[in-house]
Amino acid sequence: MNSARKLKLEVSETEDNLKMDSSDKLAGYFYKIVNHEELFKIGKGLLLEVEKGVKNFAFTSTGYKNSQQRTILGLCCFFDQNASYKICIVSDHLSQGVFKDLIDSSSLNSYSIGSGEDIVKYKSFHHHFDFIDYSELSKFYGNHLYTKTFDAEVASILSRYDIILWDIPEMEKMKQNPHFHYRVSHFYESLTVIVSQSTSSGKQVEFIKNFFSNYNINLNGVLFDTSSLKERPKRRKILGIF
Amino acid sequence: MDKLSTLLNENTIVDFKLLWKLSLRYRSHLIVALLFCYGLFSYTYYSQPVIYAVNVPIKAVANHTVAKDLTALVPTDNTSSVNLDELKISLDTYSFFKSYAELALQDPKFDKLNFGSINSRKSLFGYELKKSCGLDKDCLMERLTNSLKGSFYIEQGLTDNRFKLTVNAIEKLTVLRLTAIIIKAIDLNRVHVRQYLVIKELQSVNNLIVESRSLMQKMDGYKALEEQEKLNNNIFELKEKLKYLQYSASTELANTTALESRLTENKRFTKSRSISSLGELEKIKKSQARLLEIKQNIATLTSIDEEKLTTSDRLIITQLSDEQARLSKILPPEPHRKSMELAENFIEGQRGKSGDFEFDYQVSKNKLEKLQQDYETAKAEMNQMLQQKLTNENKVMGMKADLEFLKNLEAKQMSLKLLNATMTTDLIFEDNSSVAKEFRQATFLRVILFSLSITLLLYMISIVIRYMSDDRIYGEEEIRSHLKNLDFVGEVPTFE
Repeated sequence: MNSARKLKLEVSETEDNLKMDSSDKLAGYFYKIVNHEELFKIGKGLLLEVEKGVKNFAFTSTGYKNSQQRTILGLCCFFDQNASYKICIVSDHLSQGVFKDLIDSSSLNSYSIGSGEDIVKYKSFHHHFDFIDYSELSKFYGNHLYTKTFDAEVASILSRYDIILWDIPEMEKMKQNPHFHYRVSHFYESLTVIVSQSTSSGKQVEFIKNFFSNYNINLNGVLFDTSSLKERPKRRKILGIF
Repeated sequence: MDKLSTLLNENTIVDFKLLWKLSLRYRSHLIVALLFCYGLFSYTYYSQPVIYAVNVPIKAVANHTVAKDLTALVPTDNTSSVNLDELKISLDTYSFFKSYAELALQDPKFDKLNFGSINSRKSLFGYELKKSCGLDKDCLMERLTNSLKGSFYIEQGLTDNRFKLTVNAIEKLTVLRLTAIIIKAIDLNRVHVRQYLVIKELQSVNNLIVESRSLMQKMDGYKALEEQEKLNNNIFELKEKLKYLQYSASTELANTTALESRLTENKRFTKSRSISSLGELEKIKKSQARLLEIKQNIATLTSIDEEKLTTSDRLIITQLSDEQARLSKILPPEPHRKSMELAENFIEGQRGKSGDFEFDYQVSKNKLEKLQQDYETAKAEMNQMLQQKLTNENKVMGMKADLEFLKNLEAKQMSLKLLNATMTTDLIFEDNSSVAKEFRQATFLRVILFSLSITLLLYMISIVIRYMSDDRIYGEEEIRSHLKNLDFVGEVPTFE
């Protein structure tokens, strides 16, 4: 946490104006949230975990990427409003989806690893959060197959942040590259599964649970996504009831 | 099993709250159920055949039976009348249906009548029945009888002696024709039923009469009766004869007496009359003849002219005139002369009849004797018959009770025959002109209730099956059931 605060102090005065703009943007997201009470409930729970020393929070779902990203974005807004944490978001879906707008406003940076042979690129949103793509880690992993360097280097990168929010890829993608994900999954300290109301099935949830159990990661909590119902186009009710 | 246990409730057996929740969750089932309900209702209601019914109110009239005293021929009123159970039983017999079928078969529109049952939705026309049985009449009757069963029913009316006959058919013409036929069949049936008792009673009376007659035959009762009747007739005839003989004898006696008197008187009278009186009458007659001759001669002479008369003529006229004057003085006056003639004629007549009087008297006397003999004979015969009648009467008196019984039986037999011949139905069909009502066996409301019940049951079963097989997560309950020991953190943030 101290290192993160130090990083913040290093921010130059010229960037202050930009930061003000970015804060407004984040505040915009924050106030656009419909169910604040739910966000506070989740946020508070995570804060307690953070205070206990947990900083890697992974989010998976039964195939609802948008839900995962909305949760992560909401938590980012929550943490940005309540405490000044250095937050990192690791996702495989940065250029599209919820984060697209933020990514567009972010600046590209990179971490040099080792003697500078490898770099891990990331995008920084005005020092509020950093976005790292899974593909960057995968690329780095490709250069260091079957070594412990990958774990150590990734750990050193993650150590720069107070909170790391993992936007876990879909199961199909994970199955395509199981070794990489196995190695990355070692960093997941808390795993929350997002279940979509009326859409997700018990089998899917069981599958995810079993999948991560095999990776020796236990599920810590469940988030309920009701937006799938709300997002459906409204049809005319028959007799005003059905 | 977890899901099944959640469906059950300790108090209400089934967790209706959960069922309601499920019904809201699986709304598509409700739409399908509503469509199914509509389809089931449409099929059940509209696939029923249209039934036509005619109601005929019936009134039972009081029974008429013969008097109990076995003597009166006039039927007396009996206030009891046929009741519903009795009527139903009598109209549920094979003989009634046979009679009903026979009448239906005689109907001119039989071929067009539809005898299909109101329960089976199949038509069965008269010509089809004929065709299926061909010339086998027994087959036709049997099939028709079976088809007619259930074509009508009888219910109690508003009062004890009123009933309601309802005739059903799946075709309008048939129901109208069958109504007319069944009324006729019931009429005949009631007459037969009522006649049955009378015929049975008549048979027993006939048997009793035969027995009584046979008994009478053995006891020579008939012979005694015949003899008695014969004796009575003979006695009557004899009495008449005696009366006649008595009358004839008395008349004849009077006649004989009269004849006897006349004969005696005649004899006495004829003897007293003298011969002189008879000569005097002859002289008078001669003088009269001479006077008539003179008058004629004078008239002849006076008719000649005075100048032509001769002296001798005038002399003759003078002599004749003198003689005429002398004879006129001699002759008695005219009435006396006529009475003399009459008396003389009478005496002459009596003298001539004297023989006749004698004969008549003898005849009358003989006749009287004969009558007296006949009277005596008849009187003796009468006494004998009276004696015989007295003896026979004692015999007849001994059989009086049997005779009385036989007489009463014969009266009863006549009464029963009369009743049998004039027997009528005890049911009045008050109005058989009512129109055929159109309806379906199951009413609109009943079919709706049936459809709703079936639909509700199937709907409940379907949502329970769906719930049991549904693996989707709808809320915390499902999460807890799938992911035990896992915290439910909250809901995913949603952006506007």
